[in-house]
Order: sequence, then C-alpha cells, then structure tokens
Amino acid sequence: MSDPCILIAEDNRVMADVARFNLERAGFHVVVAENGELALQAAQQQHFDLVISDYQMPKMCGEDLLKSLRELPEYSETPFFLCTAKGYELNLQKIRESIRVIEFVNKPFSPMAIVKLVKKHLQHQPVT
Amino acid sequence: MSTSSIRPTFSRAQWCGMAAIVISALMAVHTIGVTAMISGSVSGWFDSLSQWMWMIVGGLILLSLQSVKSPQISSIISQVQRFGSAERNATDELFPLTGYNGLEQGWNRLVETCLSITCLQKLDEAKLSPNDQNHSAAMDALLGAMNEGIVAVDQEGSIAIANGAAKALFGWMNELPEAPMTQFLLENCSLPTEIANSRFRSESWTHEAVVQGKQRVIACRRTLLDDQSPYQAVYQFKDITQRQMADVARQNFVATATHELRTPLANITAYAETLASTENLDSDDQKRFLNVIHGEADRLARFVDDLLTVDRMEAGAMEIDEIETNLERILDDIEDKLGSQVDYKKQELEILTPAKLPSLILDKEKVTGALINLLGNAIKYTPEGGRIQFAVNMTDSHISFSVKDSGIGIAPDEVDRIFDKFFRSDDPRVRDVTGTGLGLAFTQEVARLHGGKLTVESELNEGSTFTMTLPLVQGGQHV
Repeated sequence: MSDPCILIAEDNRVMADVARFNLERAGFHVVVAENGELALQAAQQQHFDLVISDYQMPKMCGEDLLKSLRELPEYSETPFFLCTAKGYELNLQKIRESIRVIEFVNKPFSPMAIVKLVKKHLQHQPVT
Repeated sequence: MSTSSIRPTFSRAQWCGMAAIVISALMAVHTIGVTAMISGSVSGWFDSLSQWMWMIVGGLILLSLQSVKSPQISSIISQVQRFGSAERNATDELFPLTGYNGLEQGWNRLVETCLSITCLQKLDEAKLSPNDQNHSAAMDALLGAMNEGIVAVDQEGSIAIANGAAKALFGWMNELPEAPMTQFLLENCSLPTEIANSRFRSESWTHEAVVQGKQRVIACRRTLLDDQSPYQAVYQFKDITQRQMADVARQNFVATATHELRTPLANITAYAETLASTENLDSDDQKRFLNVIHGEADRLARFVDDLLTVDRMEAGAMEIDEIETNLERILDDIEDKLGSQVDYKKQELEILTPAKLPSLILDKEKVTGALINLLGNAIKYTPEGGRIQFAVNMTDSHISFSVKDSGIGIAPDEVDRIFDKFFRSDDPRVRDVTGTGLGLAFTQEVARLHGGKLTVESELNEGSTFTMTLPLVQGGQHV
C-alpha cells in the first residue's frame, strides 16, 4: 500500500516547506500548491487522501477551493483541514456544515500538531 | 454719545471752591481780630487787611477754575452714578475727554472698558431674548459659520431655514427647493424609506455624493421636534469623507501590521519547533532551518524599522544624513538585493546610466532604500517575463532615476492615493502580492527631504513609470 497523499494549499512558501518536511518525515507523500487555483488543478490531476488549505490565498480562497473540491465525486468524503488566522471572523459552523471541513487549524500552527491531526484522520502509522 | 446731561447746577467741586472762600474769609477775620488785639496798632491792622485780600483773591481764582471744568466733571459724576445703579442705557452716554492730563487718561480707559462690557451684555441679551432682532443676527452668524449643513423644515415639511454649508452641499445657491424636504432627500440624498416614515426622534443614515466633482461621504441626521415648535424637524449633514478615509487607512494598517508581524513569527515558531523536536536531523536541514529563522527575524526587524520610519515621517522628524556617495555603489547594492527576484520572475531588466557615474552628496542608505522600493514594486507588479527599465539621467541641475515597467498599472482614481501611507490598491492583482503600503510614502519623503520630487505616470494594464528627481547641490554635488 502506497503512502497516503496530502495536498497543501498555502501561499506562504516558508510555512508550506516546513509542513511538507514534517509530513514527509512522518511518512506521507506531499504536494504543495501556492494558491487556490493551482491546488484545484492539482487535485483534478491526481487524487489526494487529505487536503490542508490556508484560508487566505491569492486567486481562490481556501473556502472556495474546498467547496469546489467537495463538489467533485472523488472528494465527497475526503478529510479537509482549513487553516485560518481569522477564525473569529468566519462563520465556522456554516463552513463546517456546508463543506464538511473536519478540522479548523488556527494559525500560527505547530507542524507537529498538524502531523498528529493528519495521523488521527488517516489512521496512518509513521514509517519507521 | 450725548452730552445733554451737563446741567448748569453747582457741582460738588463748585461747592468746595465756595467753601474755600468762606473759610478763607473766616480765617482772615480771625487773624485780623487777633492781630489788632495783640498789637493795638493801625499799621498791624493794615498788614492783616492785605493778608485778608490775598485770601479773597485766591478763593476767587479757585472758584473760577472750578466753574470752567465743573460742568463736564459734573456730567461724569452723574453718569458714573447712573452706571453704578445699573441703569440700562447709562453706557450710551459715556464719552471720552481731552485736556485733563491724568484724569482724562483714567476716564477714557473707564469708558473703553464699559463699552466693551456693554457689547458682551448685548450678546447675552440676544441669547436670552429669542424674539430680539439681535438674536436672529447672532443665530444667522452661528449657522453660517458651521461646517455642518443645517436645514430646518416647518410643520408642513417645507424647507424653512438652510445654512450656507447645506446650500453649498445641495447646490441651493439662489433659492431653496419648493418640494418637501423628505421628498427632496428621498430623491437626492439616499434617505431610506423606513427613515422617511419613521417617527423616532433621531435617525441617521449616510449618503455618498459627488460634490464639486469629488466623491464625498455625508453623514445625515434627522431630529424631530415637538409639535409646539414652529419647526417639524432639523436635519444635519456632515462631510465624513476624511474620517472614513482615516478609518480605511487604520484598517489597512491593522491588517498589514498583523500580517507582517504574524507571518514571520509563525514561520520562526514552526522552524524552531521542528529543529527542537526532530531527531537525527541532518546538518544540511539544520542549517537550512536556521537560515529561515534568521531570514524571518530579519523580516520582522525590517518591518519594525519601517513602522518607526513612518512614525518619524508622521512627526516630520525624519532626517537625512548626506555624505559623498558613489552612485555606482548604490546601483551595485540595488542589483545585489533585487537581481535574484528579477531572475526568479524571468523578467528583462534594462539599466541605462550615463557613461561615467558621478559621486553625489546624498543620504546613501535612504536613497538606496527609495530606489529599491521603486524597482521592487516594478518587479512585484510586472508579470513573469515582463520588461523593466531603470534609467539614470543627469542635467546640470538635477539627477533623475526612472523606473518603467510593463506591469499591471494603476487605475486613474487611485493614482492620487498611492503615496498615502498604508494605501493598498483594491486591485486583486495587488492584493495577491505582499506589501505594507509604506514604500512609496517613504520614497516620496526621501525625495522631498533631498529637495526633490517623486512623480508617476501610469496606465492601467499597460505599466507605470516612477521618476525620482533630486537637485544637484550647487558647486559641490558632483565630486
């Protein structure tokens, strides 16, 4: 069985790199997209087992990206994480219900905490 | 001022003069009697008679002097008495004097003071007596001096009073509109129907209008008056455009500052945590992570420096430290800092400079920073593969640095605002790029401090040209 594949949509390249480093070290395969549009294109080209998206991104925001993905049959049950520094301004309940986002991650996030959450939802044991 | 109160009666001074004569006479009689008794001689009597005569003459002179001045002095005393008893129009009859030396000066000062006090009293009376004609004049003056537009409507809803600011705002230069105020506001001033129909005492709404060719935001308020008032309602109109722009600038600042502080902090935390908690991390990764932390800490420090610079600019306290600087070194610094960004975006950068670059007297650090801002913006807002031209031109009196790009350009309605601190365009292509909105404000200030200027020519979707022109100091800037 191949490693689970994770899509990270994040315009902060430095942050995306450290998340990728930690997830790869935990045994996941990771693809990083710099904005919502690129992430949507990547998700249409290959299937991802989990999507982590920043909320505020150029071209297409995280909410719109996850909404578009959820409408695709292959992503109807995929776990979505939405990272936001503006959690207090968003209607999280509405986003949770309409898009079925399973985790809201407050920025700044801890890469270790992300790894832990991904493992929880993918029930994946790290490669030793 | 009337002098009708000067009366031909004996004043106190005249009485004093006459009393002096009587006393002199009594004293003379007394002296004659005593002298005659003591000496018992005729010659002594004659000496005493002479003394007596002198006293009579002195008394007559004193009496005549008093009689010349006494009518006016009498009048002054009379007026002071009336004034002291708070008689209403006493001050109308005060008049200045001439030719009385010290007395004249004191009296005239008193007159001036009384007259000025009277003016203040009249203003008070105007306030206390609404039907007084003065009251109406004072109210006209107050309403005319207000920046806020004020309109009062009568019980029929027609416009009864409008001050100058309201007339200017609505263009009522010659006559007030005949339509009821509510109808006028519904048609011309974004009055919401629910407010037009509301009977709440106070209602507010905002209206965006073009006044004298400029977009303005007007805060409108209606206050209903009670039925006993001759007026049904008073409307206030206040131009809050500046306040709203300040609010937008503050929101931009908070958004920018939060993002610029939070992002590097988040990155530093994430990399430090990874370094601390990852076992068997190879040395290359360690070095890479430490470099990221260093770079992000630098970014934080730069932003804090920018904030302090803005603070100094706002206080007008930014200074320049002019030293002899080789222009070639400035251009090398700029290339070092921006060359990799140009390469990354695969842009074509053309640099046009005079054959021999001079040494100039300027603030090297600030001019370098200003030029990095201009070129950095050109790189940021020009798509991949675009062209950028950096040109240095010199005349006998000036040196100019022009940065021309083939980027997204600036919308005409935003050109005037791009030099405002924390201004960031609403264009999503600008919002997609990180920036503080401080670069152009700083660059403009650097140009100004050197006695120069920063200008822009731009066309949306075609590109922009920013030119910083600095004067050459006479007799010394070329070294």
